[in-house]
Amino acid sequence: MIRFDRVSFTYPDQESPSLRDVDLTVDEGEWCLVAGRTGSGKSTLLRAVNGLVPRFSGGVLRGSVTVAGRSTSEVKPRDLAETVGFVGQDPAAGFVTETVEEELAYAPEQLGLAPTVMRTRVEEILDLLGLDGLRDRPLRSLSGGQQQRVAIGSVLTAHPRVLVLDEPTSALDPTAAEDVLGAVARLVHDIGVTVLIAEHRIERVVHFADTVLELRDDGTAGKGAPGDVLAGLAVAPPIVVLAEALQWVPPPLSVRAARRRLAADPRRGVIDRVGGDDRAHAAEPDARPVVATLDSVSVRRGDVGAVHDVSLRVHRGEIVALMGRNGSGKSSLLWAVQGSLPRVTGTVRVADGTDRESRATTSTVSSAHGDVRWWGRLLGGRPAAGRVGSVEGQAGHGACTWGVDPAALPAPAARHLVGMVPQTPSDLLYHETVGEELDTAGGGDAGAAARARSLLASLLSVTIPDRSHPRDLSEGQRLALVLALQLSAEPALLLLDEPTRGLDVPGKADLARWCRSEGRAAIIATHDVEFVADVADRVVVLSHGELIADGPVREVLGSTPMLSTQVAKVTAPTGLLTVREVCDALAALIGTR
Amino acid sequence: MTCGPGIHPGAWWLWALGVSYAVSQTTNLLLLGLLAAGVCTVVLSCRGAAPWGRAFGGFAWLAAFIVGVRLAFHVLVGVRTGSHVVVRLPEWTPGAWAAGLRVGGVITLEGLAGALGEGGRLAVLVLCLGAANSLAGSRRLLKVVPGALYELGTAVVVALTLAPQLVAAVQRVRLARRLRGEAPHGFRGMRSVAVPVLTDALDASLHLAESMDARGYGRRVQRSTRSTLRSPRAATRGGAPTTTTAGGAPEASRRVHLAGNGVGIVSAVSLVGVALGLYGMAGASRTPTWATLVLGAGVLGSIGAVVLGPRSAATRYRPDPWRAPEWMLTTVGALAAVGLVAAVRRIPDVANPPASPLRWPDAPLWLVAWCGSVLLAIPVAGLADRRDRR
Amino acid sequence: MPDVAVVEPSSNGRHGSRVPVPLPAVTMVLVSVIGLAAFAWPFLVDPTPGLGHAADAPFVFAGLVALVLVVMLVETTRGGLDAKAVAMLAVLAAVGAALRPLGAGTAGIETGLFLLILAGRVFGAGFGFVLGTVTMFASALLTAGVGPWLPFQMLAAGWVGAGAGLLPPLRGRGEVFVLSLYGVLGSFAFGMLMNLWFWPFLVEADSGLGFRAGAPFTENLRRFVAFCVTTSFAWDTGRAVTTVALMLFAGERS
Repeated sequence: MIRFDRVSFTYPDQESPSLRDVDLTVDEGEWCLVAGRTGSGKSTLLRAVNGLVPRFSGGVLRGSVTVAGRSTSEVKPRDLAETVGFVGQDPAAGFVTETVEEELAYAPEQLGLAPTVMRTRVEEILDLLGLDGLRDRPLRSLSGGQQQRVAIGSVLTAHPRVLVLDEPTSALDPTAAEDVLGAVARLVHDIGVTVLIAEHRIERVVHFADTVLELRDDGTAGKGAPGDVLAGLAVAPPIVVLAEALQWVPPPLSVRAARRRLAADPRRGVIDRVGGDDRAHAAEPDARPVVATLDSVSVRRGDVGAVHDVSLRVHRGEIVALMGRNGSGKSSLLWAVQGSLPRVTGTVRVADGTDRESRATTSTVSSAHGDVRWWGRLLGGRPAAGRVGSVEGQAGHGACTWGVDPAALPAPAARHLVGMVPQTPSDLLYHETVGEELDTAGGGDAGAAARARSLLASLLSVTIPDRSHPRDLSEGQRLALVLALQLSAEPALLLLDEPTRGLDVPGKADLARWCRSEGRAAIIATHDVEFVADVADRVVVLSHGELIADGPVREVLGSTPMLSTQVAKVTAPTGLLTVREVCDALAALIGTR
Repeated sequence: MTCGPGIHPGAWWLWALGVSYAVSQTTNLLLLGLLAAGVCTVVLSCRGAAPWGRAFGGFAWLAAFIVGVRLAFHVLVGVRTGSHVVVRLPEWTPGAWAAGLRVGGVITLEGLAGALGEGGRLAVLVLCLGAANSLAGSRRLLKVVPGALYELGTAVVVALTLAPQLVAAVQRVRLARRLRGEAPHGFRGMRSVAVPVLTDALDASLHLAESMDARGYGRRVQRSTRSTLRSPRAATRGGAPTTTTAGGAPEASRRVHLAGNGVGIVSAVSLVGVALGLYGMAGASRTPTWATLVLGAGVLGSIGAVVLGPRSAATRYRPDPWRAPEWMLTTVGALAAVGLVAAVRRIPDVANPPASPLRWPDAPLWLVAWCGSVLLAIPVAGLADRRDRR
Repeated sequence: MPDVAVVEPSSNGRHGSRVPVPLPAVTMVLVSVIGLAAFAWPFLVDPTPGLGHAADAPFVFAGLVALVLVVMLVETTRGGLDAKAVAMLAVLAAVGAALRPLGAGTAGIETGLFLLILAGRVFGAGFGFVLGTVTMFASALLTAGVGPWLPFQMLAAGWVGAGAGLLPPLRGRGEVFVLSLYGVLGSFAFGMLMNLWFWPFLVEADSGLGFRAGAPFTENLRRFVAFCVTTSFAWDTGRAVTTVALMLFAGERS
């Protein structure tokens, strides 16, 4: 169905090719997963299938790409509409019309189909993807999962034989991702569509896939059965890593297969026992001082309540994961803590703690003085804060147990209290070069700029040249740059909104390692269960703006399959969450024996 | 009660055009008031819950503003006629450089009434436009742009969905700027917000273009030269739900267009005709017949060139129907226009009362009733709504 | 199988495309002549109420301008706009349409004109013309402000955009200077043209600032200029200043 014959592709203004001598055959009805690190050319490969690369991107493509016997060098993407259905990374960016039904009708309109044919096709796809109830809804009012399904439906109405999906679930919560992938699976089984799909979250897709195509960093590719290809891959899902650790060959690809494998494994009893022991440890109250306190915080966005009555404490050095469905109020809560989103009720207090001391000692006194001045004004303006103690006393002693509301401070002072990296980190970048961004880290404060530089160096293994354009960085590099900028203010509390969105498995591991080593209190809103298991001390779950669970990682993640890691599902009910924990447990037991 | 959304937006526009033509014929404050009241009633009872439904309020303010401006200009520099003096303002005549300009002076009741009539006419015209805007749902009108402008129609649809997103993006980036401890203001601040927003927008445009192209946008479908209608059944078979066709079923229910160059020449010649016609009208107190004829021919030729010109191969999904209620609504509008034109012919002093002698606006009963006929739009629109529910 | 190399020569830089929209010269000239006549209708037809065509004139001329605009747009896009051009058009029009309501409230701080001039300059006269018209149209739909003024606004904006593309090719400071000058002229011309259209309605005929039937052309022109100076001058100046400031700022950065 799809044939790549010695395909190499180089983007304009780049020396090294993004694809190098790729040979590839995907058969009719096959579900092929494209795996590889960020920047390894997954999107490029997918776009080459219907000729968007090189027709839209520019650049030089050598070799030949044929789809259903037609070469993309001769046929334009638009003439391949009935052959290849392409859905890009951000579904909303591709919407042309305003409502679901119109969007589904767009492709048939372009193909010049007769009205009656169009009508039947639209109805058929509405049913197939479960969109009938949404047909008149404006596209922008849909949730991420619904938008993704509409985007898929909008190419399916052309009746393509190949469906190309570029990271369809990366922005979705687990349930929405299941919805989307389930719909695609139904298409494959019912209609026999050929599917080529790129996905970072391989664990979500791999059990559907017939084959896996591995794209290596140098642009070459290799294809084979999922188990064979994924074993030993840097981006392998946890289940494959677990299989490697336990020397299961070939690795199981679904939780079901892994559980059957574990049941037959002699080490089963050991793992069960360890897990049981582990669970026996009651959660001890955190003895570390409190950095931030949220007291019955409520937030409205527009006419709807986004957060209701949430109370939360974050201790020093503690990493709190904020989980919940898309639209459950995670971002709103973060913005409310940061202070930009006004609260309807409730208080937020962030203690400055030792950070201010350290800042004072690192000779960037100006900002510390600035803070004191702001505090003075703040306290003068708000007698209610009197119970907290005098300004002098607080300024004199580093450790304080009271707090300041970040919303009451002006932006330059607030960022020393709370540092936030929003969902689209690139919003913070607006200079021409990375160097300029770093130099303006603290608004002209040389100390902050130096801190930003050293932070960036510690965050990344490779140094980014100062003159490179922030927009040309990879997602991971961009996130690191923004983190460095925000942390240069040495905030007491760090807020991260969906930081793992564009990161692959090694990238996430880097971020997790770094978060743990930094020892800064952080609230991280994320869907990524594996990342949470890796990094967080505590998990808070929101549903429709209400806090429904707050507890140690092990307790919360173990409680429901929807919020469970693959390893936890496999080893249930032991409560072990990550491969590392399983290995540690095994090693410890073997050691004591 | 809403009874508007079911009806074709074009019909609302034609109704409003008819009424506004009627309005343009008169300066009689009684008639203007009646028409305005009718239009307001129709809007209030027929506008939908869609965002454009609220547009009428803005137009009402604009109407009031226009009356105010017109009166202000009259008081300042207006022509002084009549004998019923209201107030004597100090008069000032600037030098020779502004010959004829005289500021202030005697303000008379006749002058004010005249200004009120003229301003009122303009204001009610604006109200009619407001009615069309809030009843018709301009975005639905985009579905009826001529086929030759399909591509630009697409651009407008996309622009309409992007514009609010851009505003949201600006807010998002401003927030992000605050996160860096900066308060963007001045040109530099504007730039620091504009650059990320615009770069994102341009990136988005590329993604959008890819998505459109990958779904077949801009395709030239081979069309048969016979303007035959394929039977719907054959068409359905060609694209039956479970089969996938590689070639795409060409849509045939469309007129064949002339060769491109021919149409280009027709449109150029037509434009020359329009220009000549306008030239003929210039300066003449009565338009010569030849000018009217040439102008008319040019207009018809231009319309023909647009209708027969090159067009995209795309078809329309579920176009808004144009049936009996739409015709009836258009007729209601036309009726109002006919009534007022008749009034101008038969009783010119009532339609456009002379400035002096001063008297209260008055109109015969038949004309008052005729003005009330604009209200017929309400039951007619209700008809269309019942049709939609069926 | 021999290697096939596909190179896209038209792609340069990040966003990768020139947007070729040729401006049909003959149509443009004819449409401009008709458009000017329509704008200047008070000088063409006696706008005094109660006489001849005064009452129909606004309808007739708005319809006429709308018609010739459609002809112009059809001719300009005859070759078909590709997806990239449409997407670029949509994004720029969205920016312009989103900016316009901001400008209306703040004494003529209008940034839309700058965008239009720049786009016309970068993408050519044909694209500039189409962008001007599409921006105005989208803006009118967005604010539900469709009226007889719309065709006139569209045509005027189209002229500004096309004109920017027709300016002589220059580089560096010269270009910035010429574009700034053009921005000033464009700002005032745009404002005056739009005034011209509703002038006879808003001001009493024969009054000091109003139209005077039968008076010589120069006399009426003087009255019109006086009207502009006393009313919209501040707005137009604001627009001109904004445009020039943005132009200089952009020129300094590039």
